[in-house]
Amino acid sequence: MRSPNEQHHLAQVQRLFLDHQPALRSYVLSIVRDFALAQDVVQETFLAVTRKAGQFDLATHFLAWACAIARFEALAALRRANRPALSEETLALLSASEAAATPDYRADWLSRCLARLTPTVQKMLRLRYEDALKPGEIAKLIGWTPNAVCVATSRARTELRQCIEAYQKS
Amino acid sequence: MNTERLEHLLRQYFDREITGDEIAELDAALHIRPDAREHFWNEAHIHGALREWGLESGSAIELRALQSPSEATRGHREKSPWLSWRPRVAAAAGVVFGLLCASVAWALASPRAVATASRLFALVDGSFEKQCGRLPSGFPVQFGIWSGDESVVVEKPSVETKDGQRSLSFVRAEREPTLPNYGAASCDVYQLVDLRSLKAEAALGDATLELSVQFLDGRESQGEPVKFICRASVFAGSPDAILAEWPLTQKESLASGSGSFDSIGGSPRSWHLVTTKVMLPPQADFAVVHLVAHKPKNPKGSEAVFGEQFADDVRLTLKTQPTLPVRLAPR
Repeated sequence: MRSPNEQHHLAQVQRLFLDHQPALRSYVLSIVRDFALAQDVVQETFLAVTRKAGQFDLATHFLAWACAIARFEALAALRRANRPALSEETLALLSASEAAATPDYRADWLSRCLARLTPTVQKMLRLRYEDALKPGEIAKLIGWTPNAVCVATSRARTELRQCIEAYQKS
Repeated sequence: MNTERLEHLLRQYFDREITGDEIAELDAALHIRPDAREHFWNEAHIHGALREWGLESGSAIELRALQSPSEATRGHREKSPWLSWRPRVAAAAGVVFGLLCASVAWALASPRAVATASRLFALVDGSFEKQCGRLPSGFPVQFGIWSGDESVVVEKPSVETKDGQRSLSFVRAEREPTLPNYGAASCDVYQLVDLRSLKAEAALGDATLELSVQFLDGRESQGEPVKFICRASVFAGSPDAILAEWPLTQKESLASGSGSFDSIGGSPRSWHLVTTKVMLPPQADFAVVHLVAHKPKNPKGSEAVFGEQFADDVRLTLKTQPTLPVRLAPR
């Protein structure tokens, strides 16, 4: 059983986890790429963070600490699922990169930029990111080749990023 | 490696189409080239932002489908420390969490390496061998009985069962009596599980329940997307308190977790294991095990029809775990 002080500390750590959850989910997704698996890993990370809360100093950088735990959980999940993964060393290098910091992608900017895309591309993105379908499944639904879907969604992502960056600068 | 090749590999990586050789090639480039790492994060960030957008879109639809208009605009009441996490997450993430959303943030997980794991026999007939034919209609009124929307336990020769001879077939979504003006996109089947005998384990503080379900989309050709969901929610008190106003009383849960998978049918037709975990607070008295077949694109106001979607081999496992070391890699 935890003491009242420990419970208070745990509650603060769990609150930090929830505050940073979108960034953590995005980080995990960059490693596992599978939406359902990413969800599992985020949940595993939550429990690991809960177990290890006593080791965390509230004066330090929570996201860095939680991402390190999430990386460990993500790699373990990929190994269990026998799926290909980037090496631990490369993932550590990536995490240390300045570009790893979550950019300011405000939801209203994203919505406005999405509205500029063609209806077909918007539909593809919905199937991909809302319904969690893979490019091959989307291709069958809309009558395209899988490669064409991959290329179109990739271009859409580039357009969206450029559009959002334009908002950031304005 | 030129930029075009790097872009191709990153596209393959994020679309999960990358081969073993290609990931080794990408790994090497990321290891030595800072510009490749910057490129990686450009892709990763927009992927993450789009997934958040997708979650928000999907769960907002589900939330509207399950809540009365006043509930939807008022938001959730904070009844317990467990429940209070959800609105704060929503505020932080800018995400509305649906009651059926697969990414319920306060669902908790247990590690694979556990000290104990015992199947709960409080869950009755998880392989659907004891009941046959049409399940009782509506939310269950006693422990250990499957009931819900129109669904049947079938022996279907064309569908290989996962466990035993029979499996559950989702037939038709039904409108919620508490929300008569809404359509029905989900065929929901429930069982109430008595947890009072687990108070001692729950008091230790690190007990979790793991729910696993096998789902099958039996359609031979591809069609409308169907989301299969399994959900476990734990409650304090008596089931009578949540029965009358279900599903609105779902938000009274102490903790909850859900897992899902999406299907458009077509071959290969195979069973798909979906699991979820939920922490077991000491005050938990009972659990609601909830199996769902959901048509996200079902026309507004209509009742979704199923018939080729199945569930089988439902298991509820109690897990308790030791404190495990977490290895922290340098950043």
